[in-house]
Amino acid sequence: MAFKKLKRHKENVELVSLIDMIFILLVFFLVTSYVIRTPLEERSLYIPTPENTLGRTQILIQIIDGEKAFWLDETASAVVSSIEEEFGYLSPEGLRTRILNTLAENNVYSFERLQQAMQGLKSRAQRDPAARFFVLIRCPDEVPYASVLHLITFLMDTPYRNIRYGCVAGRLNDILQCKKIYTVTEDIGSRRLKNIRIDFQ
Amino acid sequence: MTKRPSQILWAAAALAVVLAFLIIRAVRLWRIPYESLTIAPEDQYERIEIPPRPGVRGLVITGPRIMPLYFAVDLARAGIQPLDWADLKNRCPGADVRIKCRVDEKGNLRFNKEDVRMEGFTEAGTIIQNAMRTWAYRPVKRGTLSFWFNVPSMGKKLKIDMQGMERVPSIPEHVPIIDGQLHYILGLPAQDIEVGSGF
Amino acid sequence: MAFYYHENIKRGVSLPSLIDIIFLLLIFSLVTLNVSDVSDAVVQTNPEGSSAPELTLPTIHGAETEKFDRRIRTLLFQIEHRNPRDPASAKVVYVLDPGDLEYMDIRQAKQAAVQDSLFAVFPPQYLQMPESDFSRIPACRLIQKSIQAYKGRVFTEPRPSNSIEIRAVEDTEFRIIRFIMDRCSVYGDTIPSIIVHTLTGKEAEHGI
Repeated sequence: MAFKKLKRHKENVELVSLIDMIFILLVFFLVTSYVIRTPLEERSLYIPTPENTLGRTQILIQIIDGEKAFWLDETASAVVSSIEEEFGYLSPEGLRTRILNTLAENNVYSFERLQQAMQGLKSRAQRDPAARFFVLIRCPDEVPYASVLHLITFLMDTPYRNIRYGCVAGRLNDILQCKKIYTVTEDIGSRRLKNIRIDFQ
Repeated sequence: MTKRPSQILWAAAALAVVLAFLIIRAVRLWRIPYESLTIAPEDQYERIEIPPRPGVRGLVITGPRIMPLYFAVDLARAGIQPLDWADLKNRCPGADVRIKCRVDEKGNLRFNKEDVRMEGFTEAGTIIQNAMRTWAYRPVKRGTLSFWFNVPSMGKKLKIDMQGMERVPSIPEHVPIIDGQLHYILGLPAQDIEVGSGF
Repeated sequence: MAFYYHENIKRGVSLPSLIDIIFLLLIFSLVTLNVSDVSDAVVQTNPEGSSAPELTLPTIHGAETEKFDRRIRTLLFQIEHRNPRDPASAKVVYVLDPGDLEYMDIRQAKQAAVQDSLFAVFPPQYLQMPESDFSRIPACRLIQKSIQAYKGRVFTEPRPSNSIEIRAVEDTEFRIIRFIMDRCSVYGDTIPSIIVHTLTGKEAEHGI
């Protein structure tokens, strides 16, 4: 009996197709690699320019000099509100003076304490990624701008980047000599807030 | 010898290689800290948006949120009993009972015999009164609250009149008060209840 | 009897073509869909809950000296000491304009500024000057003119990416920065931000 030997077909890789595949891989990585670049050599800080409207912020940091700063946040609303209730009989000027004196007494921080307060803010921002915070930094003309940048750099160092900032010129005196400071109830979105309003003129 | 198994193996290997590339790339991208990533200049326009520019004409510093208060039956109080609607319907299917109550500043619900109109439906009236005497509300509103239980009605089976209610004076005006559940009745669907003014 | 041996010709899937198609589909989908790896950092709302969008802001890293061959992308004010080795010397502002050239680095731009006299010195008592006098000093007039010209030439419409850059020594008083910011804010949303980079003082070694 004769048996035909079955020929086994060997798998041959086609050269043309292989080159085709290599080029496709090349194109694939060229297209996707733009997402990753070498890290920036130097980075820059964006500071939004001011505008002539009512300023809104959650935290106000008024730099006084190289060693002190004035801090106002939502806790100040309760202080102002209680003074308004307790001393409502005073004249507007008297009430304003009392409020500002109380705030100036309790809310002028040394830079160490300021750092603690900012660290507390950062912790809050880290605990709640969905929360958004806006910090307004007011700086007198004669203070080096690097003070502002140090504050901003410290605040920016959060994993979720949910602390925003703005920077304008101003002195503590502008606040202490403001025309009026009072609490105001505002509906923003679905929330009702008890805000502090400072009118400069 | 069929070619099929080896071909399938090759295809599976190729797919595995592709998947491995994708997974490794995704993991590497995820690990890179944000500072090391940049976006192409042509993408920057879409990514960068207008920053919140600080205003200089006056300042508003955000204060704490004023949480609303709810005027509703205070289920946390001890002894609150529900009214079983199914039981009431079984025992008195034609019941028509009206009760005019007073809510005091502490949230207690009060009514007398004279405030109850239950002509011909004594049993239903008694069941309702027994339950309602245990009800109490959160102390944010006070005034008169009227209930009309109309079991056989094809429309609303319970109407509640809040016209005589006002906020407790000790609560500041700026604190919003929201009306919650004004009854404690089991088995009555919400669409059979109307809360309004006057009936 | 004759038996014919039938070869079973099976038509299998052509493997290279299959891989080809897989990759083509992959590339197509990657190109048409957005790669959203950095989108988590884009903030959608401001603290007030309104829909005002916000800037994705990189961090400052002014502790390193910038490369002097870095390309200038926008109008740049470089504020430094007249004598880099003397921190008590007066401050001078150089206007570095990228011009119409495809590529100009910081060193080239500074040389051009010096040649074109696009620089001015702040007088020693500028901090004590009232605002009206301060805005009239040559340095401030130069800054104002440069911003105006650049805005007219390049920032023809409001765009979030429009910005002016400042490179200043650390002890530059905020008054100068504020003046530049105020000049920019005159144009509203046309120039919504400035970029600030701190000079470390080592730039002179690199001829910047």
